[in-house]
Amino acid sequence: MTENYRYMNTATTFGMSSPTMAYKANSILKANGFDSSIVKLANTGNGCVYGVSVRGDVENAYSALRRSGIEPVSIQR
Amino acid sequence: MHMINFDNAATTFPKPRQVITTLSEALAATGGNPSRGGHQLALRTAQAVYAARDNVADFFGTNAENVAFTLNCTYALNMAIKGIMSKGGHIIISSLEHNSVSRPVFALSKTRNVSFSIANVYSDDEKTLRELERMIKPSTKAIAFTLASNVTGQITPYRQIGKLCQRKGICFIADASQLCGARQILLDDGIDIICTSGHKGLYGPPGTGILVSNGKYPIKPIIEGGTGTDSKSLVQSSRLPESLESGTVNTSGIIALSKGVDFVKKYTCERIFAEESELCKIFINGLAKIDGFKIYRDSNASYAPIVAFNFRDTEPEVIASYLDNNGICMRAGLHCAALAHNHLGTKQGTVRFAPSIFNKKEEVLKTLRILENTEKILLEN
Repeated sequence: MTENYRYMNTATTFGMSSPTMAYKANSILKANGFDSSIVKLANTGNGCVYGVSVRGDVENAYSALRRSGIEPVSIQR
Repeated sequence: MHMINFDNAATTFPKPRQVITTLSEALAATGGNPSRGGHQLALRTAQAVYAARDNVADFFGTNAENVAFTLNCTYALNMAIKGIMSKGGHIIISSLEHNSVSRPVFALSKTRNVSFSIANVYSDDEKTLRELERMIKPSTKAIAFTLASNVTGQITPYRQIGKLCQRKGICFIADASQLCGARQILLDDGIDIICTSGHKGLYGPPGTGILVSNGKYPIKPIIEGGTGTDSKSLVQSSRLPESLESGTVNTSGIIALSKGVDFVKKYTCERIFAEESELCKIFINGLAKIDGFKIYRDSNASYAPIVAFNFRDTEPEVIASYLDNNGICMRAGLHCAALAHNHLGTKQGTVRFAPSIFNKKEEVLKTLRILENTEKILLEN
């Protein structure tokens, strides 16, 4: 993650390793006050991938996920 | 005639009102296919399944990703046993096992170069543990033990077995079907894989089972298919829980099961165990006063709320039929646990009294009044 991700108003999507991890990530982000929602990613190259779309302070959102032991498998801006 | 159900070890009935209403509501409102599409109906359904998974995980003291939903405990046990023993090795099971453990193990011994030993369960826990430890070999990969017999209710020393497995680096697969809900079962008890039914002590609907894993021992899936992830690959995902949930899950059943778990959480396992055990005590004390009944309990052992009994050498099914004619449901026979009956020396089987939290003392007393006439009725017929 770089400073470029901070304070963006556009949504950033964290791709997750499984649907369950996507819902877990969404639950953690919401509990931490982030505006997030579940999305099914397009053009992943691997078929179905679920992720969580976040608006706002993406770097802090990323940190919140990592603190909970969740490592996104991809990041799409 | 008012029906009284004392066959709750097979499946609890009745179910809590919130389980019944949620089952219907879930079918009506969350009817999408979870973790498949990206549209709002699929996402709403997946959210509801995740919430159920998270709730069940909390009950077993773990995280949502460690909980896989299955069709029942038998499926969970097959997945665990076959998934852990897929490359052969030695497994130890107990003398009280249900066929859902003994049959997969026996099948593996014929097809996958798996050897197995059967450890006797005694009323003396230390003796049980000593025998179990003696059976461990360098090739022992797993110990699959019931936490409580579905025939007699005898509780095995599972926490000590957990410690033994941790010390020896052996996977502990627990069949929690008859104890879950009556006792708080946690991965912290030293269990690596908990398998249980959702429709018994957790008061969920039929067609629900749970496999809880701490992830320490990878479970090779025995069913491959759609998991909603990495769908381009021909290789089955290895990520829990989806790796064990190929195909569409029982969405409405899972959401309703979560309400059953809520019911148990609110009531508490301690209270459920105490109240059901009190009904067992009344039943045992009453039965002991009637000539001819034998109760299969040992004062040195501890028991889940189940009582196994017989009347003289009468076929257990005859007693169950007599009770049924009087509006009382009890299961008789081998209870799909031939090993346990061999262990008990009850080759004809037994009759099983298994109350739920919805049974009343008056129902037990009525049952005892009916059983008082057993000899007379049998002689007349």
